[in-house]
Amino acid sequence: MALLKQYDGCLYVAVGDQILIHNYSGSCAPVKSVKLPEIIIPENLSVGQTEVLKREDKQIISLSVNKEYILATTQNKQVVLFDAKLQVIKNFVLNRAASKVRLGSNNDILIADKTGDAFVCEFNKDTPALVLGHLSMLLDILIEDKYIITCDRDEKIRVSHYPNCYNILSYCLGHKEFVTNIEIFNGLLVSASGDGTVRFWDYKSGRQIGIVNCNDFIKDKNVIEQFCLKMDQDNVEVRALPITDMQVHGNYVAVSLLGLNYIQIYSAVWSEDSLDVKHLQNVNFDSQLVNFSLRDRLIILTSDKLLCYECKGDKYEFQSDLNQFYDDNKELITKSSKDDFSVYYKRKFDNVQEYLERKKLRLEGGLNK
Amino acid sequence: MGKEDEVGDLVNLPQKRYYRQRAHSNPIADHCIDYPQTPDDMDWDKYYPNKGEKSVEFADIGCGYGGLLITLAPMFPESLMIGMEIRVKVSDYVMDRIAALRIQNPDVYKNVACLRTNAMKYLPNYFKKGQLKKMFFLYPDPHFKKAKHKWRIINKTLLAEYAYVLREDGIVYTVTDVKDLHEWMVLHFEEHPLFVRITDEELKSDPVVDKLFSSSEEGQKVTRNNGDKFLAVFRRIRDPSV
Ligand SMILES: C[S@@+](CC[C@H](N)C(=O)[O-])C[C@H]1O[C@@H](n2cnc3c(N)ncnc32)[C@H](O)[C@@H]1O
Repeated sequence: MALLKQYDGCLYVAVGDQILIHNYSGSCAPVKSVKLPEIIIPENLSVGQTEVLKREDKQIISLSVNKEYILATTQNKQVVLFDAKLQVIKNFVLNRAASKVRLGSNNDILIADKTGDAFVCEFNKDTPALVLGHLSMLLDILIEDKYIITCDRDEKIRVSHYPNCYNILSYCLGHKEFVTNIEIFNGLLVSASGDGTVRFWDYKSGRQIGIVNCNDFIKDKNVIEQFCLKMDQDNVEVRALPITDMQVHGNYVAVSLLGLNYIQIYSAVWSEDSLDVKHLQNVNFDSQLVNFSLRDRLIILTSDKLLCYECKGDKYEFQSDLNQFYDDNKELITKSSKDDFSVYYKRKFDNVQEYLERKKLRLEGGLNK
Repeated sequence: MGKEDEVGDLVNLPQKRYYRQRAHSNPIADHCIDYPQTPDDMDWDKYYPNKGEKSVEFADIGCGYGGLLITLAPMFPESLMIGMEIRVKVSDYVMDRIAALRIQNPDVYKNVACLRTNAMKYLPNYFKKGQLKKMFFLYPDPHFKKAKHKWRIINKTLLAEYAYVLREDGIVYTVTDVKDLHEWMVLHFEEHPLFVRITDEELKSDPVVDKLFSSSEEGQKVTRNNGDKFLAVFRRIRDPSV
């Protein structure tokens, strides 16, 4: 799936093992692109492991961009850091696949992996160091101030001290499904989940300050029901349409939900211990969402368009199609595969009920004889 | 069925043969477990008839058939203790055992209870930060193969979670008959900045220590087989870096 990021008037699109950079704010809109360098196979690997690394998909699955650097990681565990001139600064391989990478404030590389471990590769170091671990797949990671915050497939958000990560400050508990995204939002932590809610937290105490049920702002409730039915056939009990991505910018929170052709935009104002959250708009489009990126501009990639909206007052208004860029790179942008969200749900296999029923029979049998 | 059975299994102690289960379960797999969303959602009154304002202070992690809890119950009548066990039948045995003991001895076992859960995943759902005074890890599953080391209930990253639910000065007791596992546990606790090992000298005055070796069913089995018993006890300390 193509990934989008914006930084300072540039759009970054990661597709396959390439990153396209489109300077949409400049008048002549030059496009640059860069391919990931060859993977450097670690020496200690067996022939088999090396084969696997080479064979696995090189697709970029997480992208992070700041003023000076571009960070990407791939399905086959490669991590690459580019500088602004697109020179390769770091190029290493992880032991296990990451689900998310993020540039920290000192250009440290934060890595959340699929087995639940979190790593930090400090900017001046060559290899990442294990800093903490959950017993469940990590889905996001960030560092804020003296804290490192991680969230997982088991509904948990953990706040640990940083760099003394062995010391857990708090847990933000309440989500009823996997936590897909976490962001810092005006001093609060905001999180989005498969339970269809966005929650705001005082992360130091773990106290929940506010909650929005994004499913309340789905016009066609049938969609929710159909998804629940479909998952039920797969033996998964689901009550809401999951949030697939959440991004924040200023006072805005933008959310995409599985399969919906719109982005929900909320505003949230946090002052004097009270949080005021409003649903502002649904930004509609008429083809399937691939990904979006929220800054002053909201850029949306669908299955057949690249759309650009601009924030005016309290509204994101349609500005233009980025047609030229889209058409020039169409083949590349549209070819990548889709994420499968259903893997984040837990299958129920109820061995308790069955046991208790058998036990009841045993006890009754004993009494009747 | 004999006459006694007819009175019902609640008054008689439950018979272990109905509750046997394969020894090892995968702690990382998705089990179907009912756990509270947050510690505030936990209804402990259901577990302790005289709970009052007290909160759970001792946790026996992977309590097996519950022998340790039963031994500690009369020693610490004012402390609430919970056994946490992942296996369905085994935890149910402990629950039935406690229910029967409470009927037989109305004044003694109201402070112990057992629940089925995955203690490697859900401790923060049950306990607030710093809630526990003592944690017990008696004869934890050794998971010998290297690939399964991450199934071990003591591992590098999980210790942060145990340190979180333990208060400062809280104590972790570990016993095992497997030397390799003992060394592994000592290594990881000693490397962790929030734990220090308690010396043998200090342990002499702790009345709990004597009970660790053979009050639990696994301990008794090791005794029968003349196995070794390795003890290591650690104290939760304040973060030296803050
Ligand atoms: C070898 S037995 C020891 C039982 C008991 N402590 C004793 O000394 O008799 C280990 C126990 O830990 C339980 N266990 C393993 N992993 C667990 C987990 N993640 N959560 C709760 N219990 C677990 C197992 O089901 C087993 O009953």
